[in-house]
Amino acid sequence: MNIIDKAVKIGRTSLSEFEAKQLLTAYQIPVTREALVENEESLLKIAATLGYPLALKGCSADIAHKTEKGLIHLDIRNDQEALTAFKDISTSMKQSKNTILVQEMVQGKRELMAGLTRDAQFGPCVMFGLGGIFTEILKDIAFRVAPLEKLDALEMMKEIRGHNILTAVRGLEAVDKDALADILITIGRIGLENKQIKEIDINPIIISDTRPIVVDALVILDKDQA
Amino acid sequence: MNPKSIVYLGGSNSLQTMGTAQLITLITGGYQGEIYPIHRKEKTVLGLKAYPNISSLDKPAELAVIVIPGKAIPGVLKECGEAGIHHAIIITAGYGEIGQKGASLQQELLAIARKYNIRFLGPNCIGIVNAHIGLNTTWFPNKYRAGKVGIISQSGSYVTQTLTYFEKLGLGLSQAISVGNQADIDMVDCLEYLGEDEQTRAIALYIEGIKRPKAFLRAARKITARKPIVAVYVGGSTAGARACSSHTASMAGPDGIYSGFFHQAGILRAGNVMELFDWTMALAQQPLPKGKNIAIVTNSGGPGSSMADEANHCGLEVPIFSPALQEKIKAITPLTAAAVNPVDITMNYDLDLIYKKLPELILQGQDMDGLLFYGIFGSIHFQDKIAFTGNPAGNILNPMKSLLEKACDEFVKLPEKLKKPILCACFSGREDDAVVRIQDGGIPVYPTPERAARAMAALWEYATIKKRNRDESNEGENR
Repeated sequence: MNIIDKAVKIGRTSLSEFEAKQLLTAYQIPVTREALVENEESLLKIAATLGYPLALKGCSADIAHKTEKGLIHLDIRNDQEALTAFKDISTSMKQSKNTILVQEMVQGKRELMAGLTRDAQFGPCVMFGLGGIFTEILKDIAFRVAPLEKLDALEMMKEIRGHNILTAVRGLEAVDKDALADILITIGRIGLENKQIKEIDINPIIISDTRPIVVDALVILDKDQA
Repeated sequence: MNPKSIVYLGGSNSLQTMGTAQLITLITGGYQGEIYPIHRKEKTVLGLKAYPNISSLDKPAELAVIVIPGKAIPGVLKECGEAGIHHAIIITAGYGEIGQKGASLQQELLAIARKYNIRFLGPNCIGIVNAHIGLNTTWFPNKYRAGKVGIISQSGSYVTQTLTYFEKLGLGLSQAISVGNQADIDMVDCLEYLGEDEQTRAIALYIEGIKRPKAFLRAARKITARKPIVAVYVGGSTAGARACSSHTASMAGPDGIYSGFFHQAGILRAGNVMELFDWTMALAQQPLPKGKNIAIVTNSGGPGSSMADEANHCGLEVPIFSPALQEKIKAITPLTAAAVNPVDITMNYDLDLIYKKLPELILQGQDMDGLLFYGIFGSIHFQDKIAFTGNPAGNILNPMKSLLEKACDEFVKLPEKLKKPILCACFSGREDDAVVRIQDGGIPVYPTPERAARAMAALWEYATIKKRNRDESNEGENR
């Protein structure tokens, strides 16, 4: 992948959220509709295209864990709120050139996560589990060694304790398990095909009606694999 | 694993060496092949004609068992190669498991073996047991039973020191292999071998690390489609991982990844070695349940409840019997019994009812997929009572024993006849003649009710794995 090669070549150890999403898109994993803006004019133009509500995020490869740094503004309803958020984030980022990600707000109550890790014995392994704040609290996760077959992906969904979240519960429709399986299988493929990728965190994957959509993603690179 | 003749290096007439101890178990184990001890000075070793070295052996040998100090091994291995011995077990330690220096010595052995076309097990292993030909190269006693469980272990202790435990548990062994450092022959080779072995009906694995994960996965998947594998993996916790690297030179991966990997391979993961052997014992001997509805027959409330409770915990169902079945049960059992499930027959000693009529009645319909049974009482429990009444024990005890034997023999035929699994629990062990009769007849009897229930859950888990594999192959090319 071009994005990865470039990043590794200049010694970077991660991709920005925007780049990570481009990588996932290239592998046909559904992600939020989004664009990068650098000034207020293009912000309002993009906002008009995507439509409110929107999320604004400070975007740079050096920034992981954006929530803690006040670089995320969610549920922005109009131009006025968008401009305020843009200013706030720009101030917090303290960089000469501010790159801000404008992103559709995906509506959905269920948050899942998927990821990739490399194990010394088994090579790339795919992780799946409950997403959002529950990932760290409950550690309700399952692993499979890449490559995954569809059966593996379906079984790892069943394996987590909270697997009922995928069924039709409390008025929500059942999650499209085939779509979710495709994401898990593809993450394994990404791991196998890109040696420079050390880890991936895709969290959250929000279930919009029945469809899983990647809302945030982090890709960690291994610069020794250049 | 089936050598007609063995050259043995490291045995002497002194009991102080491990090599001698292992040679004694080899000689006394009932092995019918030839054993040729090699000893520089002695003319005979433990009563066998000894040879000064391999080259002076004028007969062909198929296997070399090597328990000598490490520095002499490369030379011996070369001699084996020149004498046309293509298989060796290297018991000696001091290789990959001790660090860099050991690892290069291990490489040297491997290079010699490749040159002479020798396949070897070890180093740093305890050897093999092949129960069906009485071959035991380990140093632990020979009192174990031939059976259907095959074991591959990265720890030698689990194929040697466990032999007495197996005897108490009633577990019969087919073959056991201690793989040691896996310099040449590794766990994958052994898996493929036991996968093909007719005597082995279930495989138990003790794993600290996997050297060839892809090949392992391929081999295991193929096997688990028709033969169950249960594994214990140690190394997931930090403490376990530390113990590993100083034991066998393995890398331990995180616990969660192993769980996922075992799922992919269709391997049941046991939480500890107790479950490992409990489950393989059931899997090797009993038919698989077609569903998860389990009936419980007990002669005592507590153990029956424990079985039901544990069965539920492990994902099995203990449904209430249909009214029709309840009526039929009531018709043949005394009034005091609960006929719902569990069936509590109380302290009834109608052998024909307990061991035949009732299990058969419950299992022959479509509703129930397996039976958990508590209530084995052999004649041992009556001996002292009979003695106390002043009766000459033989008069009452002998007819009782023969009736009991008959009842047990009928009981052990049921699983095959009804194509449904039966597992028992009894707090008495093999000191009880009924337990012996039932275990030897092929129905496992566990020391506690919960262990029987968990083993039943393992049968069901494997049944679903087998079904999964079948579904998978039905889906054809795109899988």
